[in-house]
Amino acid sequence: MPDWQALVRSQLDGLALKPHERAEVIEELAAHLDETFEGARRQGFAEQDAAQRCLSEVKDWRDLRRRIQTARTMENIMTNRVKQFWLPSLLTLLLSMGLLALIQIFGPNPWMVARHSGWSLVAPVAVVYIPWLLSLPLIGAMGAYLSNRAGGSQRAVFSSIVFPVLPIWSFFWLGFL
Amino acid sequence: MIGVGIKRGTAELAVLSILEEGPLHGYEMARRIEEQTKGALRFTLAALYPMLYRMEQRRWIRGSWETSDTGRRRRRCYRLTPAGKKKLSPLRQEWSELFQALRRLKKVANA
Repeated sequence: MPDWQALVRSQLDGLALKPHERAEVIEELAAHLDETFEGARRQGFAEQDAAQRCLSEVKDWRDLRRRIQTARTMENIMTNRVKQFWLPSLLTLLLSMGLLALIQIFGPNPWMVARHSGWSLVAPVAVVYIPWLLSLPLIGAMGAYLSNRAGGSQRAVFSSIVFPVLPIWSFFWLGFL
Repeated sequence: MIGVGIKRGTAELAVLSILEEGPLHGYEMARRIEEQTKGALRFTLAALYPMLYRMEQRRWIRGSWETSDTGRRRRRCYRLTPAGKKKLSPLRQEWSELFQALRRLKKVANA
């Protein structure tokens, strides 16, 4: 009987998965070929014909490698990206915006910042809500915790912290131009 | 013989349906589908495993290693998850609607 493990291992060489995942895929596909071979033998095929039948299960090994890779990693990446970046980021943005709206309605009067030109104030005027600013580190920490818990890299954790800052910073930057 | 495109669309339904009967490993799954469809649906290794891995990533099925009765072979058995069971019903409905629509189309064509 052909060594299916060796065949699959050589054909799927370069399958970019974690070593134990790659070993599992190789073992599983080899077991399938093994059973296909035995099934063909039971049906009365000669050893060579049975082996040929097994080999015809895969016409393009490179394509199979690519499709296994995609199936086992791409959706993982997408799911991880959602869990590690998008979900914490959007949650921090939503919370910070929601809290800002609440503070605007129920909170203390904001601190007004304006540019001076001689004796008169010139628009735009920045309205700073101190309680809201104080809450941002907490919201950022929550985003960081969620991203970190989902296994996010340092970059993903940092990005989910600063994500709500970016639209606000852009707004102020445009305002002061 | 059913064309490749249609087969691809029905493949997930076939796998979910066959797993509804109980946990199976890849080879047995392919064998039963071929047997029950009288050869109309045949899964090669190249077609079956990328799809199983994709369905596993979507958490419709779950694979776990089991040793065969004789104890000489380790095989990965797949079983339907609650999410997979939930997916099966609307998938069946969609395909049923499609076949009904095609039957109606045939009637129109024959009229």
